[in-house]
Amino acid sequence: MKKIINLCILLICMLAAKAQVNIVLNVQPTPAANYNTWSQRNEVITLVSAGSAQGTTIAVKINATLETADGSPVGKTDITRAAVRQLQGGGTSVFYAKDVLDPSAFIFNPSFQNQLNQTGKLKAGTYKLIVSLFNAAGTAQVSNEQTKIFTIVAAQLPVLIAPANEAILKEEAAQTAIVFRWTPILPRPQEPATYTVLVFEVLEGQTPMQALRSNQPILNAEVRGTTQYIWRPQLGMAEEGRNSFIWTIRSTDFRGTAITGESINGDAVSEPYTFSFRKGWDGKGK
Amino acid sequence: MKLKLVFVFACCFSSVAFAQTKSPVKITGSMGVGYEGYGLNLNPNTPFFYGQRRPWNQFRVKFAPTIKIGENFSLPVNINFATKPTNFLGPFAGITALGSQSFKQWLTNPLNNFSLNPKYKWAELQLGTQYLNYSELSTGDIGIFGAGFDLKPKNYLFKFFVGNSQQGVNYTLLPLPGSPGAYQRSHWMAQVGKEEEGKYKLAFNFAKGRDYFGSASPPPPLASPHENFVTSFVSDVYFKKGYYFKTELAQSIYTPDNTTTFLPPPGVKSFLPFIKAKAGTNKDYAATAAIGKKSKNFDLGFNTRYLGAGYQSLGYPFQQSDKLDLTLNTRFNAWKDSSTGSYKMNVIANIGNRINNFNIGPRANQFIGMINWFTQFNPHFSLNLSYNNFGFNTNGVSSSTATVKNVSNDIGVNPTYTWNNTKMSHLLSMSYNFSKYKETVALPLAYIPTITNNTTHTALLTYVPTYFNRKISPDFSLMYFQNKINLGFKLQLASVSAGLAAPLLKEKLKWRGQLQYTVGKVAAFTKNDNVIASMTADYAISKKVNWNNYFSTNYFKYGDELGSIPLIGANYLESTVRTGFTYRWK
Repeated sequence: MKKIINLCILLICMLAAKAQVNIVLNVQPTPAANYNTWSQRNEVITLVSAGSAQGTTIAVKINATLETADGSPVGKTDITRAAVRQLQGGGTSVFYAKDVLDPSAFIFNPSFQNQLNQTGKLKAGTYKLIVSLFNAAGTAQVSNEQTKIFTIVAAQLPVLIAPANEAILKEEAAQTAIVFRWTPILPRPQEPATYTVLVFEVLEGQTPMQALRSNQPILNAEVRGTTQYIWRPQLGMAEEGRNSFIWTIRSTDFRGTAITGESINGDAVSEPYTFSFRKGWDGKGK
Repeated sequence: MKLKLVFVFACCFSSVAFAQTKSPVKITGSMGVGYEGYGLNLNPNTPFFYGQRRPWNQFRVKFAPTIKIGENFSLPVNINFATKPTNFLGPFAGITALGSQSFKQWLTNPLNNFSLNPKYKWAELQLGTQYLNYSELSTGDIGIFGAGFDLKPKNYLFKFFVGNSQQGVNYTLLPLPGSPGAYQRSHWMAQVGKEEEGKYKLAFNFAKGRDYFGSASPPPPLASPHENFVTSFVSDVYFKKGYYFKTELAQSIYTPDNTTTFLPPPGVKSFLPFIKAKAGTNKDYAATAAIGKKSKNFDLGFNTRYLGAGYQSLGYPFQQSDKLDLTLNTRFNAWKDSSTGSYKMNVIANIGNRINNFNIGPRANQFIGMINWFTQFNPHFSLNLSYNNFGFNTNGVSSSTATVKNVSNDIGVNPTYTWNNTKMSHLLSMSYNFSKYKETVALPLAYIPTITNNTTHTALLTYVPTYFNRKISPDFSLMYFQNKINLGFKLQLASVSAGLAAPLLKEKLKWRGQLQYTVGKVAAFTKNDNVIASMTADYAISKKVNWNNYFSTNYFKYGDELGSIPLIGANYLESTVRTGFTYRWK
């Protein structure tokens, strides 16, 4: 009798082993804090599954658990509500954030849900994502379990330092050199970021924002890693009335991809500042 | 193009028709056409070392009269457009990559303005491109093409406007630099309230913005179609003796992707009929407050501004959220001159703190302090002193994120001396600025932080003689600039410039010219040279018609800082010509 029981256990294990699906989970080490954008960006989470036999199809559900670094629960998949997904035999299937953290099945703990409802963002810190596949009934795990640790740091686009917003510069000095300074993009990427300093002339009848959105930049200079640029404007100063400017910084990574931070525009452009020149400045202005 | 011209001429003729009536019509404002040409000669042509920075050719048309009929009716017209789109940032960026713009794109392109604002007593109709600022937190940064009204019966406010700030722009990669694309964005906004100028303002604002997914094909890859609804309440109260209190409280409901079909999570409710909650919708808050006193010789104010991490307004697309600003500012006059009754000393100072990533973290602290102290010691001598301090500090949250600290200190001294004789007066102004900027970056596991020290010296001497009996106005200046980074890199610039303005041809031609020469030296490289000459010449053809001209040329010759042959001694000549006619109604 004991031998029969052992044989049955061995048979179950063999069947289970046959059904075992291997998964590999990848999570960006520092994804955007804006959780709502994860579903649109395939690079945030990729889950690759492989292992079912050729010609067979396995129906599975993705089970995910999100925890903080100290193990406090953040949220987990309600497996009864998770969508059934078909794994094609003999090949690989790829899932992304919108599948792994399926909005219709992934339930956040109340405090995190409240935070997301208000801000759309996860708080800065280190998190742990644990993923496995379950059978279609949601009763048994059919894959290995994968865990990835990642850090949320809400990326801050550079903040402009100088010239300060609405600064009035002495024309006699500014016509030779203007020093632009800004804070670095945070968190600092492993490879130095590229900053493009953009200056736009505000033409007669234009608002500064209109100039930013419609004119060709009078300065379009790239600097890598450093947060200062000395501009020699080389502009003829004889003309009065064309002495108002708006400037900003556009940040890109070493591949030239825009670092959008948490801004909604997707163009990696910092909040712009204006400055102007004035001849005979007497110190009574700003 | 035909349609565009028909539209413009229709607007022009409708205005002229008003002007031709015999009723008491008064027209002010101006109209004109202008051309701007840009030339760039590079030597050598390859490899690339300097890029074009203006459009080669650009025509601009301006038609901006204000027609007043009687005491109560006015019709400001503003038609202002350029023939060549030059958009670089924003929704229309790189639109030339798509060929010609559609008529709708041309109308809503921020390069162009087409507006009519007929106003009768307290009722104003707003048609075409409008830059409407309802409040600091609701909407006010961008131009919207549409229609609306602004009614102010007695002290009540009723405002409404609906339109598009941008049309759909297809994403394209080629020809370079391509177009990032944009969705069509529609807006509507309303304000209801009561205001008595100088006493109080109470108003509710409502602003809705929505992107249309199908409007761009292919769609922009880096942006999703947003939807946003903002409500805010403004309350400004002005008391006696210059005291004031202003505040705005706002709430935004924001959906980052309005195409999603998933239901919203528990706790997120729709605000029907204005916005329907979906997966990803969030609701957050913002507030501003200011309290203080304003008077002729003394101002003191405290301002605060908070934007929650999820607060968004499509009426301010570049506004950064998740921050808290606190500023204290003052201005006062002191040292009364008993003979004239005016004050000899004027001081402006402010101190502020901003915290970025206020809710989400890691927090970044910015400190800004500034003082400007001007003293007119006597009729001949004045001194201006200024000091600016900027500090930035953020701590890393993990082993891979760095702690960054930036400190900037700027000190400026600017004495000015004037003296007269019977023929002329002289002004001599000297200015010296010292700036020290230090950036410290420390990775948690690194023992030695990376420190960048940056010092800048700027010295400027200006001399301006003014002749009592002659109509020429010259000015001269000398400048020295030096920037040093970590003792390794040094940039030095020295420049001399002279300007001259004079009326000619019985004062019909107003002429002004300027010549500037700068010699520069970068680190150990050989020197570079730069000469800039510019001139304006405005000729009054008649009392109402002016011919405006501007010419500028800029020659720059590098030393050996660009590399080896053929770039040693590389140079460029950049020229700009602007000419145009302006007609002013007087």
